[in-house]
Amino acid sequence: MTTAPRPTRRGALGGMGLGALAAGLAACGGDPGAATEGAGGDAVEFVFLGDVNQRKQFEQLFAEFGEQHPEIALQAVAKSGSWAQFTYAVATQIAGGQPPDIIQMATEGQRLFASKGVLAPLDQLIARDQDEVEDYYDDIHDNLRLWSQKYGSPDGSTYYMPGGYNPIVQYCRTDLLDRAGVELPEDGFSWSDLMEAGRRLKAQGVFLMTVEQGYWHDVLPWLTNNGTSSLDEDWATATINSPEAIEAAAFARELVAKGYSPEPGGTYDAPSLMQNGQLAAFHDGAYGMVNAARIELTDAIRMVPFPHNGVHGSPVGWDAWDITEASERADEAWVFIKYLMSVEGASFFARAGGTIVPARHSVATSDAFLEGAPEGALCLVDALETATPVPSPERGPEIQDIVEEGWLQIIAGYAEPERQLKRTYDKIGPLL
Amino acid sequence: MSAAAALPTPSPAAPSPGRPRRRDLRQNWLGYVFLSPAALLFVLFIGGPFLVAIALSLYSWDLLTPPEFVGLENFTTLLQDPVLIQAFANTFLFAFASVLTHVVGALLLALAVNALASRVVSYLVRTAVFFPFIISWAAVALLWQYMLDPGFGVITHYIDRIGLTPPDWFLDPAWALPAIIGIDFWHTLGFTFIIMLAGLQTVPKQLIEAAQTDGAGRRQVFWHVTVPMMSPTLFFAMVVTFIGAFQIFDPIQIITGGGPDDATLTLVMYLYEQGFQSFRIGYASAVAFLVFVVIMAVTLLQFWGARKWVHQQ
Repeated sequence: MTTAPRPTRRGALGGMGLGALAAGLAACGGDPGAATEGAGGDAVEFVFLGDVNQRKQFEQLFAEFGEQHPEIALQAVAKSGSWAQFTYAVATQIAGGQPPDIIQMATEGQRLFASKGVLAPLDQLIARDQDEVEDYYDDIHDNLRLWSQKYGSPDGSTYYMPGGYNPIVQYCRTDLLDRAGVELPEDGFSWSDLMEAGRRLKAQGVFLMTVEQGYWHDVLPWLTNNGTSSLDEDWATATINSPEAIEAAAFARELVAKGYSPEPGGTYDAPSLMQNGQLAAFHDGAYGMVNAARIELTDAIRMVPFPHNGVHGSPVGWDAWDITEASERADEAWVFIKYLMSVEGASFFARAGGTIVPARHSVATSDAFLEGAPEGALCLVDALETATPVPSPERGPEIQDIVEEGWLQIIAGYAEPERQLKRTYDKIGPLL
Repeated sequence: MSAAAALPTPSPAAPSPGRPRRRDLRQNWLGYVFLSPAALLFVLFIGGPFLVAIALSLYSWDLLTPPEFVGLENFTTLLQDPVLIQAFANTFLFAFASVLTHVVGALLLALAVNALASRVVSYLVRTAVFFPFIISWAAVALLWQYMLDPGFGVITHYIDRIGLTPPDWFLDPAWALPAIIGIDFWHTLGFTFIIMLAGLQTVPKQLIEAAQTDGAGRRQVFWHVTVPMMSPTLFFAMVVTFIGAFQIFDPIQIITGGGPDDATLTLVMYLYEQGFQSFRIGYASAVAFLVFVVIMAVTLLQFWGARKWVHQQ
């Protein structure tokens, strides 16, 4: 019989050190490239972007799904922050070997995830439930389907079912406009109308509208309403220094310089300014309806398209549902996606106070979405006709930062539009 | 007796200074036991990640696809990255300004407080100066954003009232970094101040009194007694302030996000952007390694320089 050697103190200490090092490496490094491993647990894991406000609506939706499909356990995981932060959090989760089953993915991350082989093609599931899918496609705008395919598929397969969308429109407080003698045009202000309205409102001590630097929220609306965008249609070439973009930036700056808009770079909150009677208009997507309700001015607000320069347009982002390649519950995940696509699911979410426009036209134009909305809320639906997808190439977050910084310099008056947008163009080029 | 005989003869049993003997280990086992939790934490949360980061800097990895070994490519890219050069310059400027303002400001403040006759006033001033340091950076950043707001900021308002045109602090590339330096000074001065005050109180009164008896004036006492005696404290404050300043992140991330036009982009901000926004984990690791090397080099340089001016008792 042999006896095991007695561990020495030195050996034990060494072992502790090596063990700790190994544990440290395992804990910190994860399993790089583990995206192909199966998701753990018994429930279908659905990851979505949700702050404390949105989470409540989602939870009601999940509870409703649970009642209809008690056989499917759903684990809904909210991640808060911006879409860029959400994308990073999900990527980290995948890299850590714990991929979810469904990722609610915004425009900003769709190309990135589809091009990395993280997602499973949905074609077979779509073919299997063709009637339900066709019913959905028939009720959503063709653009949503086309864009999801164009920008979210590297190889012709279908990876995403498009969901709700968000264009930018203008929320106008009519009593302030009336007092200043400004008539609100049905199709939104032209840029020359806007200057005149700004002059009249300033005489009343009221700001016309906000001018800021958020990429989707503030920069792109000026560009798309002047017939351009930050990148071309294929997201392959920067167009941020086009004559139309320069004109748009100069116009936005003029609103600030003339005192029609608050100084950018501060900490003001547009809806609160409007509530105090200091601001006649702010722009937003469907989330503006939540803000209008928050400041208790829903009845005093009218929604119109964003100010245009002869060309109507809007940046638009949409969320989309997918199934990860690693999912071991693809069939159950697909049941949940079909629920999200259904009239019932979409209506329930819209009624609960969703912050996006439902993809289904029938729901977006129904009381489920419009009840309690400011007058003119249908302009959100109409905007999809002339909208331009938020340019989101793989290195989109960096590009977004560069555009925002350059734009801020222009609207704050520290840089001349043409020169600054040329610099912005030069910085973006190597990232495409 | 010869000189050689006067020298102590090393005993064969005497421990060599370099390698602890087995008996010493046996005698000191309790010390190693108490050290082990700290050592374990170090390995888990500092040593391990550090080694992983070095390894990752040799890879191209976007989190979603398997890492690809690229050798030193990330480091060669570093050398040609104009944004990194800007971040490097900003970081050094910030660190240099921090060391200068914190050490000088804290020393002067400590001298003033040390000279106060009233204990009550002295404690009140100490509390007031140290208080900002215990406020989280998030709150400090928001507070100063409001104070310097171009629309309704109280500082902007008073500068305006005395007839000057206040800059848009966080929008003007010429003012953004100085504004951040100012905020950091307000927030972190208390820490350096407490160190200085502690150092000042260790200066032997007998030496000061002796110098005064010999006819030294206040200035001479300060330069020839106080400063030399405080030199270890000054050295510690400089090293710690530089390391802290080189790692500045929170206020910049919250207030300016590295803007305007990269004017406040620091190395750690850039590292964060590359790793956490652009999914360039390998490149971000290379930047992290660069930050480590620079801090290590400057700290060693400070230690080397300290031999010439730090007074050892």
